Amino acid sequence: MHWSSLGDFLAMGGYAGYIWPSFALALVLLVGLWLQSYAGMKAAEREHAEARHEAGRDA
Amino acid sequence: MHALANPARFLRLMAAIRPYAAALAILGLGIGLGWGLLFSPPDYQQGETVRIMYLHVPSAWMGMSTYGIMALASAAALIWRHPVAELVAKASAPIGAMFTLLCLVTGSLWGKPMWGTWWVWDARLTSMLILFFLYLGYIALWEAFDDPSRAGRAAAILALVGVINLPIIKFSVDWWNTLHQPASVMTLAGPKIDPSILWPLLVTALGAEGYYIWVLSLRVKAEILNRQARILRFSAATDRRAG
Repeated sequence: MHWSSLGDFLAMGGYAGYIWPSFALALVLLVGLWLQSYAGMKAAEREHAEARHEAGRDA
Repeated sequence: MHALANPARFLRLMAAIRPYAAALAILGLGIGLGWGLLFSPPDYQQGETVRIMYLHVPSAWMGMSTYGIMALASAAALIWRHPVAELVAKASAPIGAMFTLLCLVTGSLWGKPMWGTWWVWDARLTSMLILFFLYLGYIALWEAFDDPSRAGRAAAILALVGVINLPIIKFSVDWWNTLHQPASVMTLAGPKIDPSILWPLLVTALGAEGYYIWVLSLRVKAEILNRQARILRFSAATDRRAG
């Protein structure tokens, strides 16, 4: 472990104001795009099932 | 390639790959970034800010490699009318754009303490910004046409024209004077950085690749199901008219 205490870790050698926003943005973008993609896939599944039903091709 | 042109088969393949891609993404990003934040040493010149590299460099690689995949898939779509390739290209664009944005913003947050500026209009930074705009233009072209086949052709042509930007990004640090440091991992002589920094970097990059495949599989599935739903609704409408 490189750090001696939690405070030391959070302070990031005085660069906390640059390092933590970088990691926070990464988290927001990675989780946000995943969520949007997952929701889009679920919506497509519903739309597909509905279209099948209307076409009278239910399995 | 021909086997993959069948959407149903492609969906089955994607469903089979998805759990492994998800595991690779979560483990690779978790371990790589945790390692980079907790255990890897500070740089002798840049101090702790070097930890931003674990985000900045993999996202730059992802932004560029995803564009390469998007362009190859666009070429396959234009030349062979490969239906799945077109959807792979379309589904890749938001992922590549996200990584390119992350690369630009983390670069800015790293540049301020190290270079004394958030931004310079030099070749590396400008060509990376152009990459981001190419992704946005590609996404906008898909939205700009009502007819998906016309939209797909226009977007594919833009993707191919934009490929010229990739070697410009890669070699910009050699061709022009810049604040940006030259390549230190992907050099002909091999990586020039210490293993204590290289390993967490490579593990993170692997996790980012897993993330791409994971999210791509979700987005391509959505595209294929939506396209099939459109065909079903269209044929149902024609059946009603004929009946």
